[in-house]
Amino acid sequence: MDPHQYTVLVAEDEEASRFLYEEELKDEGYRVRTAENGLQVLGTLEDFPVDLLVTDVKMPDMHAIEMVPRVRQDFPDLPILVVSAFKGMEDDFTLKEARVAAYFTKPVNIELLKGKIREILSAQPPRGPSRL
Amino acid sequence: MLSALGEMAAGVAHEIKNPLNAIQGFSMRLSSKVQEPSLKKYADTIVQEVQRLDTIINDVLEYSRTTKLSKKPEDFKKLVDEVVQFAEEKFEKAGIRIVREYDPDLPLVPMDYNKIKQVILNLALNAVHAMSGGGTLTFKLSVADALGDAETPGSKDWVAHVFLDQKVAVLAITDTGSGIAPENMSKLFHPFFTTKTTGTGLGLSICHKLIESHGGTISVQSVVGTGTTFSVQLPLDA
Repeated sequence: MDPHQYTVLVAEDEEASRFLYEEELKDEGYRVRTAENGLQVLGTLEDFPVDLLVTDVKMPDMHAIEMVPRVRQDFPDLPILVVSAFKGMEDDFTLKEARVAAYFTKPVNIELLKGKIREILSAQPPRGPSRL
Repeated sequence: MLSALGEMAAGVAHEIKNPLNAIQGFSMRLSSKVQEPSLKKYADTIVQEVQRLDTIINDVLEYSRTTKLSKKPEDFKKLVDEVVQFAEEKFEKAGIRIVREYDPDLPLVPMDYNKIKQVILNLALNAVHAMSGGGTLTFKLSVADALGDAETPGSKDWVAHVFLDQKVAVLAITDTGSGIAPENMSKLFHPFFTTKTTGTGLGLSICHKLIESHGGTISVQSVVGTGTTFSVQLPLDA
Protein backbone atom coordinates (compact mmCIF):
# COMPACT_ATOMS: atom_id res chain seq x y z
CA MET A 1 0.00 0.00 0.00
CA ASP A 2 1.38 3.40 -0.96
CA PRO A 3 0.05 5.94 1.58
CA HIS A 4 0.74 8.80 -0.83
CA GLN A 5 -2.21 7.68 -2.95
CA TYR A 6 -4.70 7.92 -0.07
CA THR A 7 -6.43 10.98 1.36
CA VAL A 8 -7.51 11.11 4.99
CA LEU A 9 -9.96 13.75 6.15
CA VAL A 10 -9.46 14.81 9.76
CA ALA A 11 -12.42 16.51 11.43
CA GLU A 12 -11.58 18.09 14.77
CA ASP A 13 -12.58 21.46 16.20
CA GLU A 14 -9.67 21.56 18.68
CA GLU A 15 -6.81 23.16 16.80
CA ALA A 16 -4.00 21.41 18.73
CA SER A 17 -5.46 17.93 18.22
CA ARG A 18 -6.22 18.66 14.58
CA PHE A 19 -2.62 19.75 14.03
CA LEU A 20 -1.38 16.62 15.83
CA TYR A 21 -3.36 14.20 13.64
CA GLU A 22 -2.38 16.13 10.52
CA GLU A 23 1.34 15.98 11.36
CA GLU A 24 1.23 12.30 12.29
CA LEU A 25 -0.66 11.28 9.16
CA LYS A 26 1.50 13.39 6.87
CA ASP A 27 4.56 11.70 8.40
CA GLU A 28 3.00 8.39 7.42
CA GLY A 29 2.77 9.65 3.85
CA TYR A 30 -0.98 10.25 3.54
CA ARG A 31 -2.53 13.24 1.88
CA VAL A 32 -4.41 14.99 4.66
CA ARG A 33 -7.34 17.37 4.54
CA THR A 34 -8.78 18.96 7.66
CA ALA A 35 -12.15 20.24 8.77
CA GLU A 36 -13.07 22.25 11.84
CA ASN A 37 -16.76 21.45 11.87
CA GLY A 38 -19.44 19.22 10.42
CA LEU A 39 -20.36 21.45 7.50
CA GLN A 40 -16.73 21.57 6.38
CA VAL A 41 -16.67 17.77 6.50
CA LEU A 42 -19.72 17.52 4.22
CA GLY A 43 -18.31 20.17 1.88
CA THR A 44 -14.86 18.55 1.65
CA LEU A 45 -16.37 15.15 0.92
CA GLU A 46 -18.39 16.68 -1.92
CA ASP A 47 -15.42 18.49 -3.44
CA PHE A 48 -12.56 16.02 -3.04
CA PRO A 49 -12.00 12.27 -3.16
CA VAL A 50 -11.46 11.08 0.41
CA ASP A 51 -10.48 7.54 1.40
CA LEU A 52 -11.11 7.69 5.14
CA LEU A 53 -12.64 10.05 7.67
CA VAL A 54 -11.36 10.50 11.22
CA THR A 55 -13.85 12.58 13.18
CA ASP A 56 -14.26 14.01 16.63
CA VAL A 57 -17.68 13.47 18.20
CA LYS A 58 -18.55 16.88 19.53
CA MET A 59 -18.04 19.69 17.08
CA PRO A 60 -19.52 23.18 17.36
CA ASP A 61 -22.17 22.90 14.65
CA MET A 62 -22.87 19.18 14.55
CA HIS A 63 -22.57 16.12 16.77
CA ALA A 64 -21.23 12.94 15.18
CA ILE A 65 -24.58 11.21 15.63
CA GLU A 66 -26.02 13.82 13.26
CA MET A 67 -23.07 14.15 10.89
CA VAL A 68 -22.11 10.50 10.40
CA PRO A 69 -25.55 9.39 9.09
CA ARG A 70 -25.49 12.37 6.67
CA VAL A 71 -22.07 11.31 5.42
CA ARG A 72 -23.35 7.76 5.03
CA GLN A 73 -26.17 8.85 2.72
CA ASP A 74 -23.73 9.88 0.00
CA PHE A 75 -20.71 7.77 0.92
CA PRO A 76 -21.99 4.35 1.97
CA ASP A 77 -18.54 2.72 1.93
CA LEU A 78 -16.35 5.47 3.37
CA PRO A 79 -14.46 4.13 6.41
CA ILE A 80 -15.17 6.35 9.42
CA LEU A 81 -13.17 6.40 12.64
CA VAL A 82 -14.70 8.20 15.62
CA VAL A 83 -12.62 9.87 18.32
CA SER A 84 -14.32 10.86 21.55
CA ALA A 85 -13.37 12.33 24.90
CA PHE A 86 -15.61 9.71 26.52
CA LYS A 87 -15.79 5.96 26.43
CA GLY A 88 -19.03 4.35 25.35
CA MET A 89 -19.64 5.90 21.91
CA GLU A 90 -19.38 2.39 20.47
CA ASP A 91 -22.70 1.62 22.17
CA ASP A 92 -24.49 4.43 20.36
CA PHE A 93 -27.24 2.98 18.20
CA THR A 94 -27.00 5.61 15.44
CA LEU A 95 -23.26 5.16 15.03
CA LYS A 96 -23.62 1.38 15.05
CA GLU A 97 -26.22 1.67 12.30
CA ALA A 98 -23.83 3.89 10.34
CA ARG A 99 -21.14 1.17 10.51
CA VAL A 100 -18.38 3.20 12.16
CA ALA A 101 -15.16 1.23 11.64
CA ALA A 102 -13.48 1.96 14.98
CA TYR A 103 -13.66 4.13 18.08
CA PHE A 104 -10.85 5.85 19.97
CA THR A 105 -10.94 7.62 23.30
CA LYS A 106 -8.94 10.75 24.08
CA PRO A 107 -6.11 10.92 24.90
CA VAL A 108 -5.71 8.83 21.77
CA ASN A 109 -2.96 6.27 21.41
CA ILE A 110 -1.77 7.65 18.11
CA GLU A 111 0.04 4.45 17.14
CA LEU A 112 -3.20 2.47 17.46
CA LEU A 113 -5.04 5.08 15.41
CA LYS A 114 -2.42 4.99 12.65
CA GLY A 115 -2.38 1.19 12.76
CA LYS A 116 -6.14 1.04 12.23
CA ILE A 117 -5.96 3.54 9.36
CA ARG A 118 -3.20 1.50 7.71
CA GLU A 119 -5.16 -1.72 8.17
CA ILE A 120 -8.30 -0.27 6.59
CA LEU A 121 -6.64 1.53 3.70
CA SER A 122 -4.38 -1.37 2.76
CA ALA A 123 -7.55 -3.38 2.12
CA GLN A 124 -9.07 -0.87 -0.33
CA PRO A 125 -7.90 0.86 -3.53
CA PRO A 126 -7.40 4.66 -3.46
CA ARG A 127 -10.38 6.72 -4.63
CA GLY A 128 -8.49 9.72 -5.90
CA PRO A 129 -6.16 10.14 -8.86
CA SER A 130 -2.62 8.93 -8.29
CA ARG A 131 0.10 11.52 -7.82
CA LEU A 132 2.43 9.48 -9.95
CA MET B 1 -26.98 15.09 43.94
CA LEU B 2 -24.69 12.51 42.38
CA SER B 3 -26.35 13.05 39.03
CA ALA B 4 -25.61 16.81 39.11
CA LEU B 5 -22.08 16.04 40.24
CA GLY B 6 -21.79 13.53 37.41
CA GLU B 7 -22.86 16.10 34.84
CA MET B 8 -20.37 18.61 36.14
CA ALA B 9 -17.57 16.02 36.25
CA ALA B 10 -18.37 14.97 32.68
CA GLY B 11 -18.23 18.57 31.46
CA VAL B 12 -14.92 19.25 33.18
CA ALA B 13 -13.49 15.92 32.01
CA HIS B 14 -14.37 16.76 28.41
CA GLU B 15 -12.60 20.09 28.63
CA ILE B 16 -9.51 18.50 30.20
CA LYS B 17 -9.28 15.49 27.90
CA ASN B 18 -9.07 17.59 24.75
CA PRO B 19 -5.84 19.39 25.74
CA LEU B 20 -4.51 16.13 27.22
CA ASN B 21 -4.96 14.55 23.81
CA ALA B 22 -2.66 17.10 22.22
CA ILE B 23 -0.15 17.11 25.12
CA GLN B 24 0.19 13.32 25.01
CA GLY B 25 0.34 13.18 21.22
CA PHE B 26 2.99 15.86 20.82
CA SER B 27 5.05 14.48 23.72
CA MET B 28 5.06 11.09 22.02
CA ARG B 29 6.11 12.79 18.79
CA LEU B 30 8.94 14.57 20.58
CA SER B 31 10.03 11.33 22.22
CA SER B 32 10.18 9.56 18.87
CA LYS B 33 12.10 12.39 17.20
CA VAL B 34 14.76 13.42 19.75
CA GLN B 35 18.00 11.46 20.02
CA GLU B 36 19.39 12.96 23.24
CA PRO B 37 18.48 10.46 26.03
CA SER B 38 17.73 13.08 28.69
CA LEU B 39 15.36 14.96 26.35
CA LYS B 40 13.70 11.70 25.43
CA LYS B 41 13.21 10.97 29.12
CA TYR B 42 11.59 14.38 29.65
CA ALA B 43 9.11 13.71 26.85
CA ASP B 44 8.38 10.19 28.12
CA THR B 45 7.76 11.58 31.61
CA ILE B 46 5.18 13.99 30.19
CA VAL B 47 3.43 11.05 28.49
CA GLN B 48 3.38 9.04 31.73
CA GLU B 49 2.01 11.97 33.70
CA VAL B 50 -0.70 12.57 31.09
CA GLN B 51 -1.71 8.94 31.46
CA ARG B 52 -1.84 9.40 35.24
CA LEU B 53 -4.08 12.44 34.81
CA ASP B 54 -6.29 10.46 32.47
CA THR B 55 -6.67 7.70 35.07
CA ILE B 56 -7.63 10.26 37.70
CA ILE B 57 -10.23 11.83 35.41
CA ASN B 58 -11.68 8.44 34.52
CA ASP B 59 -11.92 7.47 38.21
CA VAL B 60 -13.69 10.71 39.11
CA LEU B 61 -16.04 10.26 36.15
CA GLU B 62 -16.82 6.68 37.12
CA TYR B 63 -17.41 7.56 40.75
CA SER B 64 -19.67 10.52 40.05
CA ARG B 65 -21.73 9.07 37.24
CA THR B 66 -25.12 7.51 37.84
CA THR B 67 -24.66 3.80 37.36
CA LYS B 68 -26.78 2.32 34.61
CA LEU B 69 -26.70 -1.45 34.74
CA SER B 70 -27.32 -3.89 31.96
CA LYS B 71 -27.92 -7.05 33.96
CA LYS B 72 -28.36 -10.58 32.67
CA PRO B 73 -27.43 -14.06 33.94
CA GLU B 74 -23.69 -14.49 33.52
CA ASP B 75 -21.00 -17.09 34.15
CA PHE B 76 -19.08 -15.77 37.19
CA LYS B 77 -16.36 -18.43 36.75
CA LYS B 78 -15.66 -17.26 33.20
CA LEU B 79 -15.45 -13.67 34.44
CA VAL B 80 -12.88 -14.55 37.12
CA ASP B 81 -10.90 -16.58 34.57
CA GLU B 82 -10.83 -13.57 32.25
CA VAL B 83 -9.61 -11.28 35.02
CA VAL B 84 -6.85 -13.76 35.93
CA GLN B 85 -5.84 -14.04 32.31
CA PHE B 86 -5.84 -10.26 31.87
CA ALA B 87 -3.60 -9.69 34.90
CA GLU B 88 -1.46 -12.80 34.37
CA GLU B 89 1.65 -10.85 33.45
CA LYS B 90 1.37 -8.70 36.58
CA PHE B 91 0.90 -11.79 38.79
CA GLU B 92 3.92 -13.50 37.27
CA LYS B 93 6.08 -10.41 37.56
CA ALA B 94 5.17 -10.03 41.25
CA GLY B 95 5.77 -13.73 41.98
CA ILE B 96 2.13 -14.39 42.80
CA ARG B 97 0.66 -17.88 42.58
CA ILE B 98 -3.00 -18.03 41.60
CA VAL B 99 -5.41 -20.52 43.18
CA ARG B 100 -8.95 -20.94 41.92
CA GLU B 101 -11.63 -22.77 43.92
CA TYR B 102 -14.96 -22.83 42.13
CA ASP B 103 -18.18 -24.38 43.39
CA PRO B 104 -19.14 -26.62 40.45
CA ASP B 105 -22.84 -26.00 41.16
CA LEU B 106 -22.60 -22.20 40.97
CA PRO B 107 -25.51 -21.07 38.80
CA LEU B 108 -25.44 -18.14 36.41
CA VAL B 109 -25.41 -14.87 38.34
CA PRO B 110 -27.48 -11.82 37.32
CA MET B 111 -25.00 -8.99 36.75
CA ASP B 112 -23.67 -6.30 34.49
CA TYR B 113 -20.70 -8.32 33.28
CA ASN B 114 -18.36 -5.44 32.47
CA LYS B 115 -19.08 -3.58 35.69
CA ILE B 116 -18.42 -6.64 37.86
CA LYS B 117 -15.33 -7.44 35.86
CA GLN B 118 -14.09 -3.92 36.60
CA VAL B 119 -14.66 -4.54 40.33
CA ILE B 120 -12.87 -7.91 40.38
CA LEU B 121 -9.95 -6.59 38.35
CA ASN B 122 -9.62 -3.66 40.74
CA LEU B 123 -9.58 -6.00 43.77
CA ALA B 124 -7.06 -8.31 42.08
CA LEU B 125 -4.71 -5.43 41.25
CA ASN B 126 -4.98 -4.11 44.81
CA ALA B 127 -3.93 -7.57 45.98
CA VAL B 128 -0.89 -7.44 43.70
CA HIS B 129 0.02 -4.13 45.29
CA ALA B 130 -0.29 -5.69 48.77
CA MET B 131 1.97 -8.63 47.82
CA SER B 132 5.07 -6.87 46.61
CA GLY B 133 7.18 -9.78 47.85
CA GLY B 134 5.07 -12.41 46.11
CA GLY B 135 2.52 -14.76 47.64
CA THR B 136 -0.70 -16.57 46.88
CA LEU B 137 -3.93 -15.07 45.59
CA THR B 138 -7.01 -17.24 45.93
CA PHE B 139 -10.29 -16.72 44.10
CA LYS B 140 -13.03 -18.75 45.77
CA LEU B 141 -16.48 -18.83 44.23
CA SER B 142 -19.38 -20.32 46.16
CA VAL B 143 -23.09 -20.08 46.90
CA ALA B 144 -24.24 -18.99 50.35
CA ASP B 145 -27.20 -17.61 52.25
CA ALA B 146 -27.33 -13.84 51.90
CA LEU B 147 -26.97 -13.27 55.62
CA GLY B 148 -25.08 -16.41 56.45
CA ASP B 149 -22.89 -14.73 59.02
CA ALA B 150 -25.71 -13.03 60.88
CA GLU B 151 -27.78 -15.83 62.27
CA THR B 152 -28.23 -14.56 65.79
CA PRO B 153 -31.94 -14.91 66.61
CA GLY B 154 -33.52 -11.57 67.34
CA SER B 155 -31.22 -9.55 65.15
CA LYS B 156 -32.69 -7.63 62.24
CA ASP B 157 -30.45 -9.54 59.86
CA TRP B 158 -31.59 -12.88 61.26
CA VAL B 159 -35.23 -11.92 60.68
CA ALA B 160 -34.45 -10.91 57.12
CA HIS B 161 -32.58 -14.15 56.64
CA VAL B 162 -35.48 -16.28 57.84
CA PHE B 163 -38.08 -14.50 55.78
CA LEU B 164 -36.19 -13.78 52.62
CA ASP B 165 -33.98 -16.87 52.48
CA GLN B 166 -32.03 -15.24 49.73
CA LYS B 167 -29.11 -17.03 48.13
CA VAL B 168 -26.04 -15.18 46.95
CA ALA B 169 -22.98 -15.90 44.86
CA VAL B 170 -19.86 -15.15 46.87
CA LEU B 171 -16.46 -14.40 45.46
CA ALA B 172 -13.76 -14.30 48.14
CA ILE B 173 -10.43 -12.92 46.99
CA THR B 174 -7.73 -13.73 49.53
CA ASP B 175 -4.18 -12.51 49.39
CA THR B 176 -1.20 -13.35 51.59
CA GLY B 177 0.02 -9.79 51.57
CA SER B 178 0.84 -7.16 54.13
CA GLY B 179 -2.71 -6.80 55.44
CA ILE B 180 -4.55 -3.59 56.28
CA ALA B 181 -3.86 -1.61 59.43
CA PRO B 182 -6.88 -1.75 61.79
CA GLU B 183 -7.17 2.05 61.85
CA ASN B 184 -7.62 2.05 58.06
CA MET B 185 -10.30 -0.64 57.87
CA SER B 186 -13.24 1.72 58.38
CA LYS B 187 -11.93 4.19 55.78
CA LEU B 188 -11.31 1.73 52.95
CA PHE B 189 -14.45 2.42 50.96
CA HIS B 190 -14.39 6.17 51.47
CA PRO B 191 -13.75 8.26 48.37
CA PHE B 192 -10.21 9.59 48.03
CA PHE B 193 -8.80 7.42 50.84
CA THR B 194 -5.62 5.67 49.77
CA THR B 195 -2.43 4.31 51.28
CA LYS B 196 -0.74 4.21 47.88
CA THR B 197 1.61 6.93 46.72
CA THR B 198 -0.21 7.09 43.40
CA GLY B 199 -3.89 6.68 42.61
CA THR B 200 -7.00 8.63 43.39
CA GLY B 201 -8.32 6.58 46.27
CA LEU B 202 -11.51 6.09 44.31
CA GLY B 203 -10.99 2.45 43.29
CA LEU B 204 -12.67 0.79 46.27
CA SER B 205 -15.37 3.49 46.43
CA ILE B 206 -16.24 2.67 42.83
CA CYS B 207 -16.24 -1.06 43.63
CA HIS B 208 -18.55 -0.43 46.58
CA LYS B 209 -20.89 1.68 44.47
CA LEU B 210 -21.04 -0.87 41.65
CA ILE B 211 -21.69 -3.81 43.98
CA GLU B 212 -24.36 -1.87 45.88
CA SER B 213 -26.06 -0.97 42.61
CA HIS B 214 -26.36 -4.74 42.00
CA GLY B 215 -28.07 -5.14 45.40
CA GLY B 216 -24.96 -6.92 46.65
CA THR B 217 -22.42 -6.32 49.36
CA ILE B 218 -18.65 -6.05 49.58
CA SER B 219 -16.77 -6.69 52.81
CA VAL B 220 -13.21 -7.07 53.98
CA GLN B 221 -11.33 -9.02 56.62
CA SER B 222 -7.65 -8.47 57.21
CA VAL B 223 -4.82 -9.43 59.53
CA VAL B 224 -1.66 -7.36 59.36
CA GLY B 225 1.25 -9.51 58.21
CA THR B 226 -1.03 -12.39 57.18
CA GLY B 227 -3.27 -11.10 54.44
CA THR B 228 -6.65 -9.79 53.38
CA THR B 229 -9.90 -11.20 52.06
CA PHE B 230 -12.35 -9.11 50.06
CA SER B 231 -15.75 -10.79 49.70
CA VAL B 232 -18.21 -9.80 47.02
CA GLN B 233 -21.76 -11.07 47.39
CA LEU B 234 -24.23 -10.85 44.52
CA PRO B 235 -27.88 -11.89 44.88
CA LEU B 236 -28.87 -14.86 42.75
CA ASP B 237 -32.48 -13.81 42.34
CA ALA B 238 -31.96 -10.17 41.32
